[in-house]
Amino acid sequence: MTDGNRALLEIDGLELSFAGIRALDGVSLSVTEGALQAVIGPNGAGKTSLFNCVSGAYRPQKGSIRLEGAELIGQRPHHIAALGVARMFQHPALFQQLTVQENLLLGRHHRYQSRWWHDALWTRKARDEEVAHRKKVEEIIDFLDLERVRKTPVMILPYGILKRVELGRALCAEPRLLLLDEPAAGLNQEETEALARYMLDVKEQMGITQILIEHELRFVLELADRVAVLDFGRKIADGLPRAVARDPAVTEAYLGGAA
Amino acid sequence: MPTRKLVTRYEDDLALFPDRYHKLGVVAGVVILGLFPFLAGAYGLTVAHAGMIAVVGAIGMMILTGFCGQVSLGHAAFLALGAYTVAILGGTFGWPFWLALPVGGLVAAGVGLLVGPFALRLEGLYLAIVTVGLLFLVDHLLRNGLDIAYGKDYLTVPMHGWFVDDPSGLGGFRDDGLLSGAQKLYFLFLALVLGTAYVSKNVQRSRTGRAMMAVRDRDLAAEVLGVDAARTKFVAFGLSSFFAGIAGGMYAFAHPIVTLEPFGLTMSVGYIAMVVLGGAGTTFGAVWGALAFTLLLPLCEVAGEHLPFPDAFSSENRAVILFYPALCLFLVFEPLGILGIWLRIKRYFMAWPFRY
Repeated sequence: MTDGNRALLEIDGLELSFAGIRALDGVSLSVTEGALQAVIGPNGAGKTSLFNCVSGAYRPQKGSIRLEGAELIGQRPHHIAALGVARMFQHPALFQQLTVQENLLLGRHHRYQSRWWHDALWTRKARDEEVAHRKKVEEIIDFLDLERVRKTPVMILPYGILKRVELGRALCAEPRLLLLDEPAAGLNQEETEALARYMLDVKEQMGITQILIEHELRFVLELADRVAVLDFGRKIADGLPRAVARDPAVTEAYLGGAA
Repeated sequence: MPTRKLVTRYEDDLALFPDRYHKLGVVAGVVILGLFPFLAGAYGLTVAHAGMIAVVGAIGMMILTGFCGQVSLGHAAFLALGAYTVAILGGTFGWPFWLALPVGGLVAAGVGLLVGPFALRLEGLYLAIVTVGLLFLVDHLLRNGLDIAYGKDYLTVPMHGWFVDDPSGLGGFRDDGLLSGAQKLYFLFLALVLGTAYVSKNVQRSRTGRAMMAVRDRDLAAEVLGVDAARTKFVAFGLSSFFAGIAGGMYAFAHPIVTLEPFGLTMSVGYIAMVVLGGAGTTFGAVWGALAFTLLLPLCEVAGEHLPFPDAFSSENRAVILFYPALCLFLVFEPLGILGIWLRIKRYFMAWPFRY
């Protein structure tokens, strides 16, 4: 765990319900800057709902989400993205007909200064900016070893590479907070290990704070600095990975009362 | 010999004509387009005018439907607005054509932006139905508005006189011996087509176009990435209806009078067909889809004369019977449209002498 202990993201008493179903019931979570925070829990525990609240896709009824003191609730998703929150979706939500390079450039969309009329007339400003952002995209392509598929339309790529492109698109935004929603789901052993390597590089080289949702406990316990456990919309544990793994409440949530 | 130039600068990767094959293509294009009006007869020029109007209109359609994924059946309404604005400004107020044309585009764009808010809440077929409503509304307003203002539902276009080979034409652009009116109109249209295609291609290769395509493919993911979907749709509607308005103005120039007759649902559907026929999502598709659509229909008319149809069938009937099944079959076998064929030809030569 990093030493600074300054909280980048503070979630406080978050409540979200859909027509009587409590998806989140008073969830609080504090994520330290530079840390790799994991959020685990059984299916339907509210993990993805939590991400949807942070990225602005859902609007919780109560509570607050502050990124370095700035309230995120009520902001439109693209504003939250501009504040430095990037997200990798559970099921790759890439733009099917665009190439890998175009998908990655879209990750940088909110960093552009040029307006549509600059683009339409291909002014010097639009051209220079396109080149400048392309340079950053190439850095990410290099980081994630995507050179071979740079100009390939995303729809014909295999699942393992899609996940990497999805991570790349989030990284291209140069976010301060990266939300990873089950990045290892559907990956084989080799791809999972490569992904873990990338995540550690993101933490150590880029210093980006990450929140990881994951089912596979071993993956989480080996990677994360801290683990929070959700069950039926409530946080039932929060702490260092080893301590959480031994917590009887967590075992019960995962394995049922009989365990 | 390498089939592709090695790209060493990002600027080169963005170039419109990146290698010598593209540059050769430009030279060939300039020669063909430059010589055409001198080699083609009056009929050839009329078909070319129609083709170029369709290209500008189809590019407008492509920006909205092909890039941004918003299905609109109201495209003809924007063409009608452009055409009538130009006719009224020229006829009643005596504006010159170079001023009336962009204003026609702007009027259409203004109305297009009014439809924008509907697109923020409606998608797919629901939006399509709203745009049909717009089409009928514009038709109704123009029909009755003209009836009240002029007491007739058609307008004469003074600009048309400047471009026809008619000694009684009104001022300005009369035959000065160097170029005939039809040839002048051809070059004016050519400049408009090139400008429209250039803008469309710029949108396609830059941030604005990427945002539109992101909204088309997955709008929620686009928002979470930082794309303002509402603004993107507005820009798409504005640009699209602007070009539709320009196409309408061009239509007015090419005809002595404008009536509301052609600006119906058939025209809207025709533009969607052009976009699909050419290959959705590219400027290339809009240009070639529009050209194929406008050039093949007369060709089918000619072919229909020589085929054993019952004599009661008009030449128009025969053309329709030939053209539309051919269109259906073509799309069944090549869903990417003309773009798909072009990609296949390109791949063949890039891989040559190998098969793949």
